[in-house]
Amino acid sequence: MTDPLRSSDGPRAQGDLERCRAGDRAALERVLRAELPALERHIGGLIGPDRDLDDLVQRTLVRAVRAFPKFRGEAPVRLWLARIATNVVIDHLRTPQRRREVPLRLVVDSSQTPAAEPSAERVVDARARLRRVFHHLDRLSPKNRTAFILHVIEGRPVHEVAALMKTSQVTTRSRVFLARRSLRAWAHRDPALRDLFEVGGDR
Amino acid sequence: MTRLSCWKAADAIERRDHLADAERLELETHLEGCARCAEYATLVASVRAAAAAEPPRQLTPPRRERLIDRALSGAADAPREARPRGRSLGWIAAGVAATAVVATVLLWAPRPTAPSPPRPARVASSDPAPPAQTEPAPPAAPSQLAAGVGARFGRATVRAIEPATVRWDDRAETLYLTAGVIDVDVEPGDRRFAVATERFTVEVLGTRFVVSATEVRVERGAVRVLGPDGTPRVDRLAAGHAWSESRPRAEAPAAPPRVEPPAPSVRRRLARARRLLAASRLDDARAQIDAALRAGPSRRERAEAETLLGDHARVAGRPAEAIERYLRVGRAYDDLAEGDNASFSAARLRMRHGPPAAGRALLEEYLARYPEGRFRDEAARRLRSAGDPR
Repeated sequence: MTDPLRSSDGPRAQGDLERCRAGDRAALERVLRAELPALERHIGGLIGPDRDLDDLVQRTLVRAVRAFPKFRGEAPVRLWLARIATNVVIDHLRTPQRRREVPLRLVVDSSQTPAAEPSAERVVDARARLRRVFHHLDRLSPKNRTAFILHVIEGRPVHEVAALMKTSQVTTRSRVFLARRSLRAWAHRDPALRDLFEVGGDR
Repeated sequence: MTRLSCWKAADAIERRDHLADAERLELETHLEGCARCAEYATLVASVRAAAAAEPPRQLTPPRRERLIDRALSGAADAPREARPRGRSLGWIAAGVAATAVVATVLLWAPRPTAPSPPRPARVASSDPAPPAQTEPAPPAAPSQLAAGVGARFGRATVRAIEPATVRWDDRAETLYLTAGVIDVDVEPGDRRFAVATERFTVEVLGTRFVVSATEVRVERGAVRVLGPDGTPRVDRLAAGHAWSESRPRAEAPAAPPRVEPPAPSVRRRLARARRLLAASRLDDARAQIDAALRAGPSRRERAEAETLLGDHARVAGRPAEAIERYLRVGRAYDDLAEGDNASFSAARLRMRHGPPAAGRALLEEYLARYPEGRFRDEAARRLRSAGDPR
């Protein structure tokens, strides 16, 4: 059997997979250390700009270490870890307390939002806009939210999103559709995002 | 060519990077005639650009090593969750708005003084600064405090006056209060301490006082005055009070001394200006921007202030002036994100208010100056919509 420990980071030492499966600490350290930056980016992209990264990375690593003995290496390690991380984030978002919480600054921002007037214009920088969109995304179910972020914001094809979320492409499209429908309605009514929608005036 | 439905158009918008030319043309045709889908295309492009512009979330190398070590040592999630300094997302709960959320805070945080005057009376200095932490502890899970129960968070002792739910974020040095009433006693120190509720944040400011050879006057916080042998002369001299060695006991002045708050920073002025513009308070916004420019801003802050002048002109209904200001920022600060934003704002505004040819010219200038700009996709799309085959 060829060494299936494939990763976009380049070739690994021969037999690293077997050693990881056997629980070899040095091999696991090598692999995890190499994959952590990509994992952080993946989790960071899913949770948005205002959530804490540490704990979710920690949980992902713990799950990965426990699951390594069963990892056959058919998929690249990076993608395998991304799937674990995706499930960790979804489980985390399901926690009732997480879903009730909103960041203080967004609560303050909404109180600063002026009453909607056709002539009023706001200065909204890109980062505040992203936060605002994530604020709306947080209102979605965790799976719909995750599917939307992976497919629409990160631009991953549907089949890859389906693989990451361990579901079918049909289900993935359905989740994206439901998320899109809600987000469009909320964004359209949000004065903080209104300056985006000047297309009508330009035409 | 088939007519694209809105459903398929949305799907195409989301797969934009993977469309074949024919699909792009179909989408273009659909967007020209469907404002709703065009709106969605703008939203997706903007969010993608903003997400791409976000600095990547990265942990520090020591933090990574610690997480790997913990994972390999079999540290489970459960014990971390139980510890008060385990985890917090730094968020506050909105779902408990029905619960009364009131925080009473007692602040007494004397700071280390400058060298004290060579007279018998001296002002008690604060405790030594806490030892520097190499890495802050992870934020905590929420803690429930029963009435009368106290707990330690950071450099504060917190006692619940009514049953309270709190969460400590060591990184932000902030205690989030989501329910109940707490009494907070903050020790002296250099680290920040704040208590945040859903509606406001209370931040410890520290102590400010004026000392001469014979007198001490407290303007903020409170201090203790000791004799040369260490015995207290005044146990607690609060804000608005003064003590003089010639006077046998502390006396309150007839009127509290006027305390001039420190001048707000440039960043704070610019943030205020932005909020005032959003509320259409143009004169106040302009005053803040002018004050920020006088306060010696950094180059980036100056770019932001000059962009806000453009925003000011735009909100005031002077698009020509706004365009001119944006263009100046775009050309003078083309190495900064502010320059990118301002250039695109100029082009977008010109498309709305000026002759179409001028608008196209500015979009082309934007794409030439910022080929990797955050709004390159939207600029290209607008050029196509305006009849440019780009």
